[in-house]
Order: sequence, then structure tokens, then C-alpha cells
Amino acid sequence: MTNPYGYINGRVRMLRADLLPARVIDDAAGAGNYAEYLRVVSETPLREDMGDATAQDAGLAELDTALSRNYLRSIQHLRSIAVGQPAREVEALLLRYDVLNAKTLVRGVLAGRGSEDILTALVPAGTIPWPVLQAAATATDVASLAQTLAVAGGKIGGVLRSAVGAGANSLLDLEVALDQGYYRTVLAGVRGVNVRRYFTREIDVRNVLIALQLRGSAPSSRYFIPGGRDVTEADFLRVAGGDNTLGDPSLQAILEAPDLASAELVARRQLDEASRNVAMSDALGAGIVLDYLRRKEQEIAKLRLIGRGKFYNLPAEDLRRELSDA
Amino acid sequence: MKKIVKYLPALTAATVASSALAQEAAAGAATGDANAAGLRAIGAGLALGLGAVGTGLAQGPIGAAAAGVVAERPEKFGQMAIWFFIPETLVIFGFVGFFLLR
Repeated sequence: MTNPYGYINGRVRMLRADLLPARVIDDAAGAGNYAEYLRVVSETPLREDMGDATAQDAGLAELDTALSRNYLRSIQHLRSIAVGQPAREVEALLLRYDVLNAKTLVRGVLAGRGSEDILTALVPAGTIPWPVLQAAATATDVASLAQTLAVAGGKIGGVLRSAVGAGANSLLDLEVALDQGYYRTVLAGVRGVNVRRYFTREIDVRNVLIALQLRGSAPSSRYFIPGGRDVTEADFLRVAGGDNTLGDPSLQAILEAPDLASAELVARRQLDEASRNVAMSDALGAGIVLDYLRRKEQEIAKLRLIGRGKFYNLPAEDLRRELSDA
Repeated sequence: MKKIVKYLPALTAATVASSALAQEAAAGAATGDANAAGLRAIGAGLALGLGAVGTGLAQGPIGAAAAGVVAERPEKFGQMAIWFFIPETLVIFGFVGFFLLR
């Protein structure tokens, strides 16, 4: 009879109330210089993590560390709240960061980037321990990366190792394999109807984006992610083959974007809206947690972007445009 | 005297019958009172019991959410207590019904 999310969502709603309001983000974006930006951020709940970032000779590295620390603390706090089935669902939601990190590592290793470079691009969240990510960033090839992640990196590491074992070697092959494993795990772990509906939507969107990416090459159904609702494998192959029509108007809007970057932007906005909707309709489920994670991620991404803009004296107009795309 | 003897059985029968009817009526009235009292007691019990069950059903999720909110923001205890106690009105109304029916 009792719903464990009643307690958890009460806490998450309060955490969500701690997120920076749009006014503070605007103030930070409107700061005259980097020092003023730091002052604005230091007057927010992020102040306890700012520490070294506000020191005299501190630069972007210290700011990144501070923002990452705040993000990681929020995620750890969220994980400490949930127990039982909700804890499993929260872990399933956090796998998203494992996939993002695994993709960043794969891209970095394939491009031959240094471990320091790769580490700065990783998101300090998810279920893979940070030392494991640090060790994985030093890998010289994808096989050893997959091995490192599989030993201590949980489910996503296992997915990557299986994909490498099956012969996947291109970036797209590996990314799609990670997505397929991730969505399979998430759909198996998440019970709430509304959250499942959100993820089936996300799968549809991802399939459309992959199909757009595949245009110009031979379409293959091995890149299709099963589990969606509105995009079938036949639709996927049709779109990948150059057809520009889909029954769903919002998915159609993604197809009609002028280029892939714009399509990704349209897709991201649609998913943001979907996560807000699921938070409203799933008051006694994981929807609130899902929405909080997305909002926190956006908050940190925006602060990072503004910090860079202020550090390099980017014109206010350019910064505003970048922020609207974030 | 003969006439009286002649009507005696009828008189006796009438007397006995009227007495029996009076007893039955009295018994019927007593049974009706008992039924009414029983129904009132059941009604009073339902008023109090259902009010309490309704309060419990409402306070369960409110209490869980309030505990979550207070865990993050202890300063919101007073506000959460008000929300938590609002369903108590259900059981208070149940009490009123209970005393009216007793």
C-alpha cells in the first residue's frame, strides 16, 4: 500500500528547489568578467564546492573541478536517499552517465587523445567508480579499455566488452552497441509506466538520429535500437535510406532539421520537455528523479559554458546563443 | 348468572387473547427499540471507523512526503505538520457523528 517514492520524491523535490533559478543563470551570463561570474556563483548553494576555483591564480581547471564536485555530491546524495526497488531504478537512471563516459572514453581512445584530455571530458557521475574511469582513460586500445571497464565498471563495461568481442571496431558500431545495452538494461530495471514511456520515446529519438547519421551509407538494421514505440525497424531503414516522413509530428520535426547538429538540438529539447512531463505525471514514481537528474546536468553544463565564455571574454550575444543551444 | 357462564369462555378467551396481544405488542416494541439501538451503534461505529480509515489512508502518503521534505529542510517542519494534520478533520467529523448517534 505504501509507496517508497513518497518519501524519496519529497526529498528530491527539495533538491530540485535548490537548483539555480533562471535569474541566477542570467546574472552569471551577464557578469562583466570572469571574477564577477565567480562572485555570482559563490553566492549560490554551489559556494561550498567553489573553494579553489575562487583562488587568485585559479583557472578553468579549478572551476571544472568545483562544478564536477558539486555534481558528484548531488548524485551521491541522491543515491544515498533511495533503497530497495527505487534504488535499482535510480541506478538504472544513473547508467546514463556510465554510457556517456564509456562513449567519451571510446572516442578518446580511438582518436588517440591523452588520458588527461579524456578525463576532463568525463562526467563525474554514474555507477562506475572514478578510479576505474581514470584507469580506463589510460587505455591504449578499445579492447583494453573494454577489459578495464568490464572488470570493475559494472553493466556498461560488460556491454562494451561483448561489443568488442563481437567484432565492433568503428565508433558508430561501439556507440550503438552501448546504447542498445543501456536501453535493454534500463527497460528491464524500470517499473514505472510513465518513466518507461519516457525511455521508449528516448529510444525513438535515438533511432531517428542514428538513421540520419547513417544516410549516405548502406542502411543496416544492426544499428537499430529495439524497445521504441513509434519508430519500427522498417521506419528506421526507410529514414536511413533517405525517406523524410514519419507519422509522429515531433519526430518529423527532428527529420526536418537542416543538419545533424540542429536535429540533435531539436531532439534534446523534446526530451527535456518529455522529462518535465513525466515528472508531473509520475508524482509517485521515478519521474521526479529523472527530471531532477536532467535539470542538474543542464545547470552544471550551463555554468561550465558560461565560465568558459567569461574566461575567454566571449561576446555576450555569442554566449546567449550557446546557452540557448545547451 | 347463566348468561355470564355462557359468555365466560368467550370472555376468558378474549381476556387471554387481549393479554397475549398486549404482550406481543410490548415485545414487538422492545424488539424494535433494540434494532434501532443496534443500527445506531453500527452507524456510530461506521462513522468513527471509516473516518479513522480515511484519515489513515490520507496521512500515509502525506506523512511519507512530509518526512522526506523535513529530512532535507528541517525548517519546513511546521508547514509539513499542518499538511499532515489536515486529514485529521475526517476522524473529527467521524467523532461528531459517533456522539450524535450514541
